[in-house]
Amino acid sequence: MSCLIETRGLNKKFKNKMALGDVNLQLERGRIIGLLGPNGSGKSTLIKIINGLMVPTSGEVLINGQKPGVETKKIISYLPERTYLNEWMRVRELLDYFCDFYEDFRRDRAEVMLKNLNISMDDKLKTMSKGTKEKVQLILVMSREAQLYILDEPIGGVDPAARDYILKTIIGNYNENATVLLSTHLISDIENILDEVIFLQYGQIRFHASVDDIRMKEGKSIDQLFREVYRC
Amino acid sequence: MLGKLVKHEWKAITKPLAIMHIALILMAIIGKVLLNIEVLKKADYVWGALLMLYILAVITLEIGTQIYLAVRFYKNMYTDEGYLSFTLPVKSWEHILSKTFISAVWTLIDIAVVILSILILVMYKGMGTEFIEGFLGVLTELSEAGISVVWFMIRLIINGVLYLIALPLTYYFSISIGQLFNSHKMLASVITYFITINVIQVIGTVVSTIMMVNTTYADDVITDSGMKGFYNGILDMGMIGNLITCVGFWLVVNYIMNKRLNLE
Repeated sequence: MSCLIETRGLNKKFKNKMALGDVNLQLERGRIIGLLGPNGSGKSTLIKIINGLMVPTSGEVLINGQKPGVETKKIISYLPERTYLNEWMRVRELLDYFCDFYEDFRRDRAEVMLKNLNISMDDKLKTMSKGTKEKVQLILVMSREAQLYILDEPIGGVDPAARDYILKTIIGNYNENATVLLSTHLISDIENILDEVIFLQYGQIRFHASVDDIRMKEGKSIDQLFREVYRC
Repeated sequence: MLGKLVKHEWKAITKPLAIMHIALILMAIIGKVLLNIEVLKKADYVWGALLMLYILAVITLEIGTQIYLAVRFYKNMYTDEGYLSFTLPVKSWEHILSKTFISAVWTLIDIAVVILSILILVMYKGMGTEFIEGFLGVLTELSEAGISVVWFMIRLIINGVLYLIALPLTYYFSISIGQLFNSHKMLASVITYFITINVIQVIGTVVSTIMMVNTTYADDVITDSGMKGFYNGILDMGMIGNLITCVGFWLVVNYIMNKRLNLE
């Protein structure tokens, strides 16, 4: 299968602190990949570089063979760990916005999901709780028919019921040629949907393997392995 | 995509700015009505108080509008909202262009609204005719002095447009430079802004002084043709200066967005 994301010798330094050190990755299509690691391990930095929100100190990243730019942004659907939407906008206006800028945005899909979660099209973001805002953002991101979904902590701030719905949404919405790259601390919640995992530590790849291999060879769940690898 | 960016930029900033500007017009209308009441007409202090209030309102509106335009750029590009702006499938220059365009349009509306509000306040019968007569008088004087009126007007308009473009680009430049700092980015932006406008002013003063000395004095006497040359020269220099500023700022902002972006 062809490679969707490739990083070559990726480095990122902040002042004198190394955030990423020589990261070499090859990620294929049609996978759900967990990007795991404790706080400050470089997950968000890697994600931002792939999305073109940060420039690496050295090395390069290719998405579908191209450096981050207009063409890669067309095929990546990105959920950041923070609220990036305008507070004054109504849900309806957000849908208009996404329709205008992303050719692959499916409005009908978004409307169905909003209805399922009882979010009104006329609600303003300003009046929503943090959890509801996160749901709206996730719905917008998952309503695109993207080739690559990058979800940074998608389930961190929502209740367990919504968490289940969101995970179902993620699995239900991506097509088999698309890849989902998902960063989280809540491993036990998502481990059943993952195909492979990348463990990051101090900005370097500690471990990159398929979930089946880990279960077969190590005889452990991802959660157990995580606790062992990152034992404090 | 550029058209869509312009559309959404307009939508995003128009409501608050429109409210502020309509408020000024309403204030001018109310002022005009009050000034027409006979009892108040005779009281000087009412005049004074109204005038003070009006000037204060205009200053607030001017500064408020410009700060709002600068903050909008900062928030939309370099804070959390930047996560969406920079992941839209558009080029950085399209962001800069759409924002510069809408900022320039709003600055123009702002100037027009202030002029309109002054007109409302001082309006009297026959003012329109007087204005046109006065304007034509200036043009006649210009042509009598041997300055091409059309050329003069064209340059004036180009200068005005360049100024409208340079104004927001100065904010974008300062804010983007601020992003290169590891901490205190806002403070760095504000300091950059004040240094930048001061440098521009100093350069402007130096250049115009040199020109003044070179063009207006012939044998220690200020001549008419010398003054003409000076005014023409000032317009040209202003135009060139504004153009260089716009291009320079544009290139720097575009470079920072493309090569030095570090959203935290």
